[in-house]
Amino acid sequence: MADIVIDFHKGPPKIGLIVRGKQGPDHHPDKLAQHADTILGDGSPEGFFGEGNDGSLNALGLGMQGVVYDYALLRLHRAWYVDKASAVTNRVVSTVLLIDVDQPTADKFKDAWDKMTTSPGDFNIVGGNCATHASAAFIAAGVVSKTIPWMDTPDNLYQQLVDNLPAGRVVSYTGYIGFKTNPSGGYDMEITPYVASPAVAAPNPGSSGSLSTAGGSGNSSSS
Amino acid sequence: MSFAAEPKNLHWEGAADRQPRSFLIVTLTNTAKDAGGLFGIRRSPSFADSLPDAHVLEGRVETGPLGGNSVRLRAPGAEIPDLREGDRAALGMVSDLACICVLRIPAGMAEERLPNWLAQQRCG
Repeated sequence: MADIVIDFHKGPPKIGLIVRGKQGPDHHPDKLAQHADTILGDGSPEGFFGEGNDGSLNALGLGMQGVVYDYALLRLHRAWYVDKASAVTNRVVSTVLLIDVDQPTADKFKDAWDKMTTSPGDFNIVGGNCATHASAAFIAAGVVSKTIPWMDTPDNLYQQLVDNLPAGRVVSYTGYIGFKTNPSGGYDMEITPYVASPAVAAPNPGSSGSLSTAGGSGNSSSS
Repeated sequence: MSFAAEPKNLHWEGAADRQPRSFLIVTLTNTAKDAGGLFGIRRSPSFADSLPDAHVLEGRVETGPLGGNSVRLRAPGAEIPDLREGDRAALGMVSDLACICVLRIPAGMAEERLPNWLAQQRCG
C-alpha cells in the first residue's frame, strides 16, 4: 500500500486523535500499552505526558509533573511519534482518527492545548493522564460534551468519538506516523499503512501490555 | 570498605537533525532489557521516560573528563546495535548527558584509527 499524506490546509478543517499502540480500529491495546496524542487544525501533534521518578508515588504514575510535548519536544523525546522512519525502526504503530470540524472548533481545540502547555498541572495514570487531557480539549472545543465513558484510556476516547460523531465526519488510519513541515505552515501527516501479517515483525508494544516485543511472530528481541 | 560510585545516568534523545558533538568511548559492563519498574508500570508510553523496547547499557568510560567512571544509558532497543558485556561502544553525545546514538566499535580496532572511524560515522 502506498503512503498516505494528509495536508491540513486542504479540505475542511480537521483535528485528530492519535492512539499509539492501537493496531487498527478494532484492536484494543493493553491499558499500559497505549498513549493518546492529538493533532491540531494545522497538523501540529500535541500530547500530554508525565515526568518524574524520584521513588515517591510518581514512580507509580501518581502526582507526576505534567508536561505537553509539541512537535519540537516530541522530536527530541519521542522521535518515533513524529518521524515516520523512526516509527518503522521502532515498530510503533498508531491509529489516527481525523475529525472534520469548523474553524472556530479547531481554534478552541488549539486554545485548550495552549492553556495546558502553560499550566499542565499534574499527571496521574488514572484520572489525569494523556487521554483525560486529550478528552478535555475535545470537550472544550465542543466536539463531545461528556468525559470518557468508563476508564479514561486513549482507546476508550477513540471509541467515544467514533460512537458519538457522524460517520461522515470521521476517518481512521493505521500505520507508522510521521509529520513534515508544510511550507504554508503547520505540518503534513504521513502514514505508512500497517496491516498485520505473519511476515511483518509485530509492533511495539507487544501483547503483554508493556512496550516490549513479547508475543507475535517475527519479533526480534535482544533480551 | 569502599563502595563503587553509582553510574552517571545519561538519557536518550532523538537526533532531530543533529550530529554528535563528542563521543563517549565505553567498555560495556552490562547490557539488559529494562525491567520497567513495579508491575512494568513505567513502561506506559505516557511516562516521559518511556522508550519502545527499552534496553539499558552500562559501561566504564575509557578516556576524557569522565574517564574511569561508569555511565548508564536507557535507549530504545531498535536503536542499539548488538552489544555484549566487554564490547566497546561509542555513545554519540549532544550535551553532557544527552545521547543520540550508540555505535559498536569494531573488535580489534587500533586506537590510532578510532578518531578517523568516528569522524566517518553518522547518527540519526
